[in-house]
Amino acid sequence: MFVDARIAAPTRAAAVIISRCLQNTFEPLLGAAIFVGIWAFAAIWFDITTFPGPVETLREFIRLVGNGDLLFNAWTSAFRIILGFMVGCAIGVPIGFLMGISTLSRQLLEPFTEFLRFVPAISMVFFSIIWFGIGEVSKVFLIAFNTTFLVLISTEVGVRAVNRNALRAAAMLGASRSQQFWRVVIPATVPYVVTGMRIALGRSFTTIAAAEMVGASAGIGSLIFGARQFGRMDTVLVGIVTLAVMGVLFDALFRWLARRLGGEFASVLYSN
Amino acid sequence: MVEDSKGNRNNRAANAVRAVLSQLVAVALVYLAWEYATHKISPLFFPSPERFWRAAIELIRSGELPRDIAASLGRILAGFVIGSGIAIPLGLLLGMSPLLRRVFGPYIGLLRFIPPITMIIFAIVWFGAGELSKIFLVAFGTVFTVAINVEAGVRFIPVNQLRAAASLGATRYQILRAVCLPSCVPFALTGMRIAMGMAFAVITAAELISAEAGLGYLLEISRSFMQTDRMFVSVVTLGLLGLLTDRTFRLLIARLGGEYVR
Repeated sequence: MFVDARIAAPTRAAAVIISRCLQNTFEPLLGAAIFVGIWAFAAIWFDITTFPGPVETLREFIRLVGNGDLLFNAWTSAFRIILGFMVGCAIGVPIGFLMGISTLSRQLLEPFTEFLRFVPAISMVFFSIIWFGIGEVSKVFLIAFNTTFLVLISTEVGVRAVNRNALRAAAMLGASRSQQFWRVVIPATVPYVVTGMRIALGRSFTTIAAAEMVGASAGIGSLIFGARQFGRMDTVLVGIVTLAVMGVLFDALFRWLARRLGGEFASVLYSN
Repeated sequence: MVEDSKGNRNNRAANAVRAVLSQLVAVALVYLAWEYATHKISPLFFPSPERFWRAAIELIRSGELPRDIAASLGRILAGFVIGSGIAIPLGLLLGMSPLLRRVFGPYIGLLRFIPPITMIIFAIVWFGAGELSKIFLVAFGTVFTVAINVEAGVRFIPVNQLRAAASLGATRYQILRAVCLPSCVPFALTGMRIAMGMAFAVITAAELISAEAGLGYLLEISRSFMQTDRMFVSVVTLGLLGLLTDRTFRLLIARLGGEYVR
């Protein structure tokens, strides 16, 4: 109580720093230990052949990286997702803007977009194969189908949420219609478009995994499904973890790109 | 925008009529285009409206379609309820305890990125090829989405609200009940609505891969006979069901969450 403040403050600061450091290294380690512990215990509990433990998974991971299977299949899936995602955005964003701006086009298109966005992309898998063959195009189509409507709807919502008074202010200051569009509507819509794209990107992984499991000869989904026939649960788990890690990486990359390219438009992009 | 209320009402009515009319015109145009286009191409490529309706009526008459709808919806509902039941307490815990969040947050963040359908192989090994494995998949897909939303809801509560409750003498349990739970409701419902959309995709894929009933099964079995008309019925039914559940959910949010949703 009566300790001299000049002594107490630095000591307390040092104590805080030390405990913070301990916390920062200790807690993630604790988390990792508990996670791996539960995993190892579950593997023994369920039996190694039906649920591989951390060691088996790591061994299989090294084997698959070594013979190139993992990278090849991961690249195949990633390529399909990126291409389909870009095609979907290229279709969804302009139509979303159109529907947001023009009431007539919204009324004309809404019955279809409101229905099609609830059609699970994976249910189109057989039609996709019939229409585009068993090659890459049919998978890219599914991802594009998955992306288009999510991006379209969020773009439309974004355009319609533009502050009327901002538009009026711009018009009053003499902005032409195209100036209003480029200077007011687009910047205000960017966060909505980015959010829609992020959700679509996340869902692409479910779609591509399912599509590759149902009908493909390459990709992580087909790696998983092929391994099942040999009862190689370790390969299955490596495939699942790879997809999850790819999902995390794509999400981080997309957020980084969105901040880089669209950061000036919205503070929303800086949040998680 | 200040407008004369009477004029406004007339305008609104006129606008509504115009909207319905243009929507009808659009649907009619697309239907005609469908009819016309399918005259030229093989029904194996895309079924004509006539074939589609015939297949739909046939499937309803024979009881196949109602059975498949019931099977898919039942699985979705069961998995969804179980998933949410786990997710809401989990999200509350994560939201209220910074320690738990720091320790387990990263792993939940990673597990959330696992496409649920890839778990089907483990699900079948663990729970057999029956109902339980599909219910597990839907629950797996639901848990993380809902939990993360609930957690966000708890963390969204202004600190001063918690302090106010505490300074008025509320116990931890009372704070949980009176402050945290209500302010999580809109977030939980939003997460559930997103998860519901996912559940349809997951169950379709799961039924494509292994099932004896359900809309995905209908799709798969029709494909093996190249009955594109039946396939199309299944796809359309899936879309309609998704639309219907989403609207129901929106209505429920308005009804149940009404007092909580700002």
